[in-house]
Amino acid sequence: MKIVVCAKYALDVAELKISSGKPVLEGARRKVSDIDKNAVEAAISIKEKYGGIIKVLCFGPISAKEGLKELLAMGADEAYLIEDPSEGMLDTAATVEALALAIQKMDGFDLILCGEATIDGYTSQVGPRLAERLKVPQITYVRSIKIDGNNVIAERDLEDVYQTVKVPMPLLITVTREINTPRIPNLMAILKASKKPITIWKIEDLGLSKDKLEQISSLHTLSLEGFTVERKRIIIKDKPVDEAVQELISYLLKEKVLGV
Amino acid sequence: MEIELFSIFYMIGMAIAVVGGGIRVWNWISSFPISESYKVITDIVKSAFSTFFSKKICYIIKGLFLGIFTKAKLRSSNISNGFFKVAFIIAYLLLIIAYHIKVENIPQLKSFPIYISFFIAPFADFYFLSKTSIESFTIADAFFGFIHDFFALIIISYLLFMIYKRVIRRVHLKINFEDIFCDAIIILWFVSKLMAETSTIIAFNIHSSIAKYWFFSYALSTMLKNLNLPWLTLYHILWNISGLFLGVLIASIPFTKLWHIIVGPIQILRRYSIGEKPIVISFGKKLSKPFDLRKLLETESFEVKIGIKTIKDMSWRQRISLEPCIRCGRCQDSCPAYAAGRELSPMEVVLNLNSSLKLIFISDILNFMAHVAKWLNFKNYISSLSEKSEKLLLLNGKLKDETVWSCTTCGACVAICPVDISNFEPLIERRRFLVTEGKLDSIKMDILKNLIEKSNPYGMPISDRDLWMKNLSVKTLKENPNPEYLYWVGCSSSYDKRNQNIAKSMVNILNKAGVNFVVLGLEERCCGDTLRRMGDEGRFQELALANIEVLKSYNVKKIITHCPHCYNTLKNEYKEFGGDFEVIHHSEFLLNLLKMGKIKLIKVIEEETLYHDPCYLGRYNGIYDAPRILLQMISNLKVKEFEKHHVNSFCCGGGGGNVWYEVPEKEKMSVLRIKEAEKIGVNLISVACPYCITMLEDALKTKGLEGKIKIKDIAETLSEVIGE
Repeated sequence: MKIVVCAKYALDVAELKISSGKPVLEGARRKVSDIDKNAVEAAISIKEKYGGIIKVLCFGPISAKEGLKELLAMGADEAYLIEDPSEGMLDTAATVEALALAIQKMDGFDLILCGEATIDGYTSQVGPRLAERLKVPQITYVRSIKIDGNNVIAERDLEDVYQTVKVPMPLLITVTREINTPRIPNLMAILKASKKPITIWKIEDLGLSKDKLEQISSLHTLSLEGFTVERKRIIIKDKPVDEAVQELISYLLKEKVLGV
Repeated sequence: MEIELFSIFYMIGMAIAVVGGGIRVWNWISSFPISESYKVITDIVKSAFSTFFSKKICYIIKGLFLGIFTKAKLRSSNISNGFFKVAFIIAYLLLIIAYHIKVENIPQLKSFPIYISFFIAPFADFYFLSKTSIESFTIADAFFGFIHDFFALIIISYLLFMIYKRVIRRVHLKINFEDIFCDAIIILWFVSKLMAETSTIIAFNIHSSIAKYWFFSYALSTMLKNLNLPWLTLYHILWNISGLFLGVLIASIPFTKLWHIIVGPIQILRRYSIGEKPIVISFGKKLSKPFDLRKLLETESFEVKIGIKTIKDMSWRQRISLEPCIRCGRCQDSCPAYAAGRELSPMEVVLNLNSSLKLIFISDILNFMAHVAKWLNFKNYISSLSEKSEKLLLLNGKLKDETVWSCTTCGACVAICPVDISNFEPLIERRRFLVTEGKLDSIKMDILKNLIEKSNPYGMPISDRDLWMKNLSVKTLKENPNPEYLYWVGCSSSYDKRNQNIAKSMVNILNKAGVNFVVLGLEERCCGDTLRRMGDEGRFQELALANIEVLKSYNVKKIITHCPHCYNTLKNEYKEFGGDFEVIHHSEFLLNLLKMGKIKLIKVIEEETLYHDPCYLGRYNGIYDAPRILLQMISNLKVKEFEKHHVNSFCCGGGGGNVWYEVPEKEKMSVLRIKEAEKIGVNLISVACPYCITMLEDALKTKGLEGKIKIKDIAETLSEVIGE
């Protein structure tokens, strides 16, 4: 089975700093988006059961090699990096275009796995768009995968219900965090994985150009603003439990954390 | 002259013992390739030589007397028991020596070659008593007779006491057949021997001027001689029975816990040969280094075996170190994890591994049979045989994951063990295996992930590491490149809101005393204690090397830290990676400032305080007095002691990574500790470790004692009495 996993070398939002109202993107720390690691883990467990080959594909800065090494150490077999000329300023349509062309350049696939969203943009668009672009069926928000002959039986997590669907391969799946716990490769595995191949493509290798991608991209950045949300620092104390709970609920309603 | 039956029993016993001993030695060295086994042996010989011709020989001699003959460690935990054991060992040794000297002087035995007289020695009385005349009887013979009965009585009474302890008082444990057998067989051998002597005295009507020196047998004989028994027949039967018991006793040494007679001294001498004091544990402060990351990166060969999947993955040293266990149960009694009802008994760990160790020989035989089957082309058997052989060695059933993660590496078990077993060493090795295989639950994964990604176990942003020092007058190394001391803050006091107060107090004191110090600020990373103790050796080395590089680039020489975990790692573990710094714990540093009059007290605390020994400060590094003296100097009242203190201190439950994850248990260790404090009745518990604060304050919340008992680091208390 040929599995392609799309992974983003995303901004580590926990480390993102705001300086005079602007997020500091220069030199900001990056890491492989958490949910994409769930996708890689899912791919590994499929490979462990049914055999096959796992390729990870990333559209991002050249520094993403570090992240890809980690995914190779987890158990992926090959890694492909498409160098992003725009430093992350492209929208999902342009990203998908690059990913799709890269996948077409590979020797086919049975299954494409993506995270349901990335930790920085959280658009949840890349997976579904990619499926449309490649004209394959898709199953989104998947929390468990079973392979049945040439079909995939997947359980979807739709907030208030679970939906089980059966779809023939090839197809694209986006997974949720709940699907598994990604393994943490130990240092030896990472060092060993440095011998696995990472293929680096320029967009020109895919027949694209910076201008063309910018054309496809419908997102135009006017400005980047950073907001710091202060804690409310409300402490409810010295009250009987019933009263305290009532007060807490009224605060949560006011802040629209709870809905009526 | 013929060899009697009893000597033949002894010979057979000895032969079985030698074979059994051989099997056990095989278990130590099996699976080491020949070249490596050769290396192991040459290493032993070499180190023996270098020991003999160095200062270490003094340690060894000291160990021989303090550790083996006088059982210093055992006596320190239980005086009466310790002295009893010492008497037992010395009695036994002197008795053996006396016999062998005696044999040389008995005329009837002179015709035997020495290797035969060796097997006759324990029965010297048989030849002597029945054939000696009053004329040839000397004072030396009299002395021999006396010490024989005297020591025999000591030995019997010691063993009866042991049986009493196990069966009636039920100290430590359930009764086990092996325990009773080992005690009983020695008693049987001595009782039958004394009875045999009695029958000799009666049957040959030995003159009382000789017989009275065998005072016990003589007393028995005067009581029994009027009984009309076939004494001459009994004389033959009893001597042979005693020989049989001796044969069984000797034969059982390699197969029962009596094996500790051989391996116990090896283990104790090893500890003394590294010059450790009994107040410090012999294992744990510097974990073994299965590989050196720098070398791996240089050679680019990353195929290293880490941790223990099978029993054979243990080194020969680790294997030997498990064997002296006699199920005394002291480690289990001292273990805080066991007391908390966790799935861990340090004794069971050792016993389980010991039973695994015994399977090595069987597994090797199966493996050999598989080779034979292959040679004979019996295809059906090859795979099943080699499969069975491998399965025998797996540790899955012997070391449960829950057990492995229950240990806080507090070292109480190692500190109390009379034969210096490093009970928790296999647990760390197993963690290394589990980490290598990625067999961790999500919480532990997260801890490791946080440490890898954020260089702190909390998973807080790296850029927040210096938030605690906002608005404080602290300089970083960048701002003051020529400090005398570097103050190492550690993760807990950098990120934890409560523990930041320790760092703030430290800064206050150091500034007041005019110490030229700096911190690393954003350049500081976790010291790696948690990573190493949780078994991620590779990442630990990566962190350690990075830290050492930073410290060296600023030419740091002296480091102060208030965290015993950082202290231990920086001081004892970084050396192996090229980081040789003078590391000072704040308790000693602050005491020194106080003694030199660098800080002035503006008030004294009037509260009674109880001092809790952090494991990594006391047991690991022997610092017991400094914090106590410091507290004494700043308070008018005496520092009180917990029931378990100093080397026997009871862990708060935070060590070995346990502060970050939870293990199923009946009652938290910290709660047990707080209960102890509640009984003593104090309002202030002083500690010298941020983990202890986290754990004990958590227990206060659980027990609803918040506000009633305060928990403070010694630096916080000191900072209060010198003013802001």
